[in-house]
Amino acid sequence: MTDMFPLLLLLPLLGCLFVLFAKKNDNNSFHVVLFTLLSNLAIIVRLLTQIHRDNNDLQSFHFSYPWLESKGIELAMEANLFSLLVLLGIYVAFIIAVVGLLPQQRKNKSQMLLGLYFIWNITGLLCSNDMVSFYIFFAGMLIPLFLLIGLYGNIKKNSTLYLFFAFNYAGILCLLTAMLFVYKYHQGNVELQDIALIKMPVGSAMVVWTSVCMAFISRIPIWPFHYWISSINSGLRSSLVCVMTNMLPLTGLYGFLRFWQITIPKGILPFVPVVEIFGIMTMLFIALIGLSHKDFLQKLFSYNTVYYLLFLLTTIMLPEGYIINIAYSLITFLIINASLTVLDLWAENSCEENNCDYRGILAYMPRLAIIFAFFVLVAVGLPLSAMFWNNFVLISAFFRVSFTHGLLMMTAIAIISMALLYELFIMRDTSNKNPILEIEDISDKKVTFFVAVIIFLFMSFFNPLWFAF
Amino acid sequence: MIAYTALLLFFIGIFSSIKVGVKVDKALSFLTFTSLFLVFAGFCDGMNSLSNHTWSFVWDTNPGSSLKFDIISNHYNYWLIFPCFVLTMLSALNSLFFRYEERRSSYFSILIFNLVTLIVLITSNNFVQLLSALFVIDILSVFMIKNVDAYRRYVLLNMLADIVLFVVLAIINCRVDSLDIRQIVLYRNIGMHQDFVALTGLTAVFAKFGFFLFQIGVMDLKKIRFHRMLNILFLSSPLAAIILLLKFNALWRTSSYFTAYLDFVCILTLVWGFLGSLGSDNFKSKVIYWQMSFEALFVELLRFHGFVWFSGFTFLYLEMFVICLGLYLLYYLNRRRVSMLQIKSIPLINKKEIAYTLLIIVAAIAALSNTLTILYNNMNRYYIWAFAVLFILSLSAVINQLLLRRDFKIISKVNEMPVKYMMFGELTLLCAFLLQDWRYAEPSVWIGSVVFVLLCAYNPMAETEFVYGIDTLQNNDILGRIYHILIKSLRLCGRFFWLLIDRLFMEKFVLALFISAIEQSLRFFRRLHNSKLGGGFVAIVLLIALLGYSYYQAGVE
Repeated sequence: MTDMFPLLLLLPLLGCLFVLFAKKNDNNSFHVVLFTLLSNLAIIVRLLTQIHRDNNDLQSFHFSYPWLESKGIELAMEANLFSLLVLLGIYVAFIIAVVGLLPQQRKNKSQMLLGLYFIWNITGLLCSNDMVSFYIFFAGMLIPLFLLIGLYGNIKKNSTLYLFFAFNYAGILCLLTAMLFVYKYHQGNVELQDIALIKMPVGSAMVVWTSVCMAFISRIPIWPFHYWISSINSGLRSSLVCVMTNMLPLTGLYGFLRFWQITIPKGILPFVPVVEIFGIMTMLFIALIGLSHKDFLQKLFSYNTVYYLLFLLTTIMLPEGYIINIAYSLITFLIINASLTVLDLWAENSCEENNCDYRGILAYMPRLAIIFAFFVLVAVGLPLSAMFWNNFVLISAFFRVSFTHGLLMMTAIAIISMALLYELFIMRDTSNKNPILEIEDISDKKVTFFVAVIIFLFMSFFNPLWFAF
Repeated sequence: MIAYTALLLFFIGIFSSIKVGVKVDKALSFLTFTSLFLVFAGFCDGMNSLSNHTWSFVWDTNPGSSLKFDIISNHYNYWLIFPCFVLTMLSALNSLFFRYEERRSSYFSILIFNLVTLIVLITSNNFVQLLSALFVIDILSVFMIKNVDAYRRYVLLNMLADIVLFVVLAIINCRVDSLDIRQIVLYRNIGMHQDFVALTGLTAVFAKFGFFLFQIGVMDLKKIRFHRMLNILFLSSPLAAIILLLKFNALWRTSSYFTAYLDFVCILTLVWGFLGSLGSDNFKSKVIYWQMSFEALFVELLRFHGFVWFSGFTFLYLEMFVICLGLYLLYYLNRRRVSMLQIKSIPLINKKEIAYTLLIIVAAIAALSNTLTILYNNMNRYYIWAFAVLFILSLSAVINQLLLRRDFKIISKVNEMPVKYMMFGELTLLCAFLLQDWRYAEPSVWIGSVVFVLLCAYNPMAETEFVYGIDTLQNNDILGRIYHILIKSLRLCGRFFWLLIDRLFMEKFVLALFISAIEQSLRFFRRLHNSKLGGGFVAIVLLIALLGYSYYQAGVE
């Protein structure tokens, strides 16, 4: 069954080829993307069933590909329980995003192609086990993202867009610098867990680890770098592109998880409290901004930031034993994020089509209202998914490390939860309901799809891997 | 076994939630009620058993920690569940005889699911199960209220309280390293920030009660139907708050400020409830205020009895509910008008109804007094007396205004009371009386009841009625405004940060600086390229500097 693992990386590439030759202005590319995503999801579930859950060692699947043998570069791929769980969340989120595309957006071939290419890159990133392949996928995913944001981002200020590109590009350069240093001292490619074992001068080690941290921080909306990501997010109106940009911090977080969990280099230890303080202050700051914003997508961005930072700080501050709790929480988080994005975009689209006010829109669409309310309640942290219990474990562990940090984090989470709830009430407000106006509710197919997602989430409350074991 | 009861109820709830037509709904709701009654009979049969049973299944098995879902059957839990069951039955019975709901069976299903959740809450032994049940009760209350305007503040406040409890339990878990509620005792010895944890948790419980300073949520319930309001007041968050008080009493006691804090809030709530019940023009608000005062008394009585629940508390809670049902009858007789001023001007009541309603209320008051005398001990006499005096005064004033005003023109043959209403009233009376042991009733109970009737006839608080006409007082929502200002200031804070840090600092300063630096460098290199500034010379100097630096670095390495 290990033979299935390479398929995980191959299928999206094949899908890209099919989309490339698909008809223009047709749904062919949409169907190819959906089929690819579903196939890969099935493979992930199959691989997860192979891993015995009670085994605490992170059992994994491997394969390697000798690329530039003369230069000592062999690409090593590995999928363990954690990466498979995160991939599961990512794939379900992407399926939701693709299903959430409006009819005219589904016919957009370039969007489908670039989206699938991004998925290939993120799958590769989560499966890469050596420095070179990690870098390739880390840098590669920015190409489709840049193009999609440029084409469909609806960015009002060009300077913001350029800076977003420049900033992420600087992140790639940082990782490249680190990789070149490592290559210099190791004379070849190196597996990620062995980087810390390479002997190098203190100054060089400092450069390597600082560059690595800067590269990952460039992807996470930590102050003062949150500005560009939030500016980009505000203009997006395609569910696929929205979900893609929301995945960007995940790559930084995963980078920290892979590098940080192995060892914290002594050279950068003094900077750890600085990252912690900046992380917590950003959580509070972004939560307050989320409360003040009137746009739901902005609130959702704030919510994402708060939770990504929570996971980041968990990675930095807590011991390795909590990694599976992070994974379980992340799956739910990614699905909620994608679902709320799609549902909000549908609601906004209905507002535009019917020329009505966004306030109270859910009063006209009872089916959408119920689904929307469910996801908001899960996002807030109600016991409707695996996130509730796993967050409880994580928060409890935070209090063990630092009472003040834990309290500040919970304040940020409470503020952003209230912001989401408040927005839900505004969207359900019936005070200005126009009795004459009739807005078409979401179709039966869409309801069925989201009911399936809701069942998936709700079952995870009892057992996060109910589908695999 | 309680687990068996809960499971049966769960299936009845699912059965009842099936969507059917209006005609079938009547039969389905009757069938649901019959099933509920049968399960109740089985439950009462189990109450006599003194043995303990625990039904559990492994909920989640994370590596390193497993979580169990437990339903513990013991005598104590039976007595805690009993009032919840009876109240649910009475509410369902109410709906069965009166045409309150368009879809009675779906309303029954909410009631039944709420009961199942309460059972899970009462029998829970771990934090996660307890928190889950609390959240589910809040979700069900949304379905019960069914009005966005009414549940907005109620839900927000309750969710906030739940999040605070989540934090408190996370802190305890981090110290005692156990999810078991019984391990809280250890927190007393090894806990950190004990005062903070205990008082914050207690504040969250007060918020769930809707006590003074947190009453804005429950006050909004006046916008919904009376019977739904009663269900929320007696079967939702306030009842969950009582259970929390009982379960975590070891935690509250870790703080030395606990008693003072509890007394302070309860006394303020009692006084506020009394003033509100006298001054409010809205009849539903009056009922909410009475319930608020009653909860304050209830909490104090629980404290004086060491937070140990026994049958006396069960009766007390039920009797208050019966009084509220009597008040509901008054509301119904007055054609569901809520404004006391309006009710005054349209008297359409006949003698039989007056006598009947008064009988129910007086009987319930007598039962309540009897239970209070059972719960009486020397430590809590001031509370009981204060509550009794204030409650009887305000209730008699309202009854006087509603039924016994001398300027009322009593009209017979109008609004004749149907047999089924009588039947319902008799059933509630029966409940109130059957639960009492009247043999040991003290003379004060009978004297109290007579005094109440006399007060109803000659209202000494008649002079306070003028406040009904003061609009500024009636429409005043000071606390709501304070909360609004608090949230607004938080939003302003966010807006300020956004403007100061994102717009001014990042966009106008950092971004502008960055762009300007790029522009300047481009200009500089362009000028070098165009041989201005002696381009070749400057380029050579820069190159030599770079070479020198590289040479120096290589030497160091």
